[in-house]
Parts: sequence; structure tokens; C-alpha cells
Amino acid sequence: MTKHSDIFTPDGYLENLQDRLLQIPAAEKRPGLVTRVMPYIAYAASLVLLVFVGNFILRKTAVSSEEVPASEDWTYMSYLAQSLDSDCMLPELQEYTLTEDDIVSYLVDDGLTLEELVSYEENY
Amino acid sequence: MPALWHGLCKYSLPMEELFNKIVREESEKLYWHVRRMVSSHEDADDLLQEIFIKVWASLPSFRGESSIGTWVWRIATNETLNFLRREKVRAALRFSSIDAELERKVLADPYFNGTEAERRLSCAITKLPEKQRQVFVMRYFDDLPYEEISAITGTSVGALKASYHLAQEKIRLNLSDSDVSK
Repeated sequence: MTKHSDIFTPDGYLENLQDRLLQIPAAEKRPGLVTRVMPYIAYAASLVLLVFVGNFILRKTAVSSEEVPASEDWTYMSYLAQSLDSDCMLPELQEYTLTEDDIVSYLVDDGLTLEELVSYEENY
Repeated sequence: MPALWHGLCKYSLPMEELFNKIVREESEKLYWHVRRMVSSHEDADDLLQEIFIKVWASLPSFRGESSIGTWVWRIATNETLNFLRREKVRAALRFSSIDAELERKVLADPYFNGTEAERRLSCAITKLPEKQRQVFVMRYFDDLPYEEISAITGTSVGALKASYHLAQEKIRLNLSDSDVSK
């Protein structure tokens, strides 16, 4: 009489117990290297895909350098408008008034011939 | 021969053979030990499954420093104590105690066919602290020598003897108290 005689098990339990426990290695078989690495490969692949898609979308939506002139022109025009604004001119330039002599001197310095000058005076 | 065990564990096929050997030699003994500790066939069955899954998972790390049987029993006792700690928390959440829960399981156990005295003994065992219960069950029911229990639990033989003596005294006191209250 064993010391466990006061307790018992369901019918056939102990006979089946070993069979059930012997199934553990098959059920708990360690996954192969490929199976274990697969999640990391999947993460890396999704990251690469995300970068490609993001890059593609950005390239499609961004304005190319050839299409920029409008904005560049606008910037240049703004600069010109600002420079022509009398408020932005230097004070000494604002006070100076051009005389006819100034114009003649400029034209002579620029290589204007006498005939051209006579013609200019006759016509204007 | 530890070196041989260690050698066997290195390869997958012999590892399965080793596991089968463990199941054949230890499963029934462990079932009765666990059943005594948790006081229920269903819990013992679940726990035994967990224990052998852990044995299988840990087999590659078995270093052969103790006998394979001692190593398996060490896993089993650790898992059983962990189970009882979890049950203690569950019982506390239900505003109950683990002793009361285990006693309830003993009293409601459909797989019990002992005498009234044996049922009272089982109830008295549930009131022991976990470690004392473990030593008492191993020594009294499983008939393990103190040296083997010492190797499994990592407690000195002297401390185990003291623990067993204390457990016996508590059980005797508990049984005499229940005699008086009758």
C-alpha cells in the first residue's frame, strides 16, 4: 500500500500521461534559422519599401528646378521694385539732378561720334 | 555519469531520447508530488505539462553538475512554488487565503477515496508554509532521502531535518486541535 492510496486519478490518466508528455518535443520544436530571422527580414523589407515609396511621392510632388523661374523672376522683380522705390534710394542720389551736360559727357565717354550727336540734337 | 549526459544534450536526436527517458522515469513520481503540493488533479495535470515543457526547453543548458533526476526535480519544485505564489496572489484578490483555497480543493476533490483521518492530514498539510510543505511531502509521501532533497532544494540536510520536524509538530497540533473542536 503506497502513501498515495488516499488519492487517485481519472481512469487511464497515468497510462496516457507519458504519451502526452512525449509529444512535447514535437510540439515545442525550435523553429529553424530562417523562421527565426524571418520577422527581422520582414521589418527591413518594409523599411526599404517605405523609403522607396516616400522618395517616389516626394519626387512627384516636389517642383523641379526648371519650373522655378516664375518664383525666381518674382524674387528679382521684387528686388527691382524695391531698388526703384525712391524711399530706398540713397539720399545723395535723390538730391542729385542730371543736367544736359552730364548726358553729353556720358555719351561722349561712351564713344558717341559728332555726326551721331548732331543727328541726336536735330531729332530730339 | 554527468559527462555522458552533457554529451547527449549537445545533439537534437539524443536530446529527444534523453527527454523520453526522463518522462518514463520521473513523470509519475512528479505527478504525485505535484498533486500533493497543489491539492488538485486538474492543477497538477496543467502544472506537470508546464514542468516538462520547461525541462525540454532547458535540456540544452543542462551542464551535468547534478544527476538528471535531481535537475528535473529542481525544475519541478521551482515551478510548483511559483504556481503556489501565483495562487496566493489570486486568493488575495478574492479576499481569501491560499491555505483556505487549498483546503477547499482537498475537501472538494473528486479523486479522493481515503479515510477521514487521511483527509484531515491532507487539510493539515495545506496549512503548512510552502517550504515546509515541500520538505514534508518529499520526505513523507515521496520517500526521498534527505541528501536527495538537499540536492534538489539547495538546503542543508540539518535545516531540512529541522524543517521536517517543525512540519510534523504543526500537523500534530493541527490534528489535535481539530479533535478538540469536534
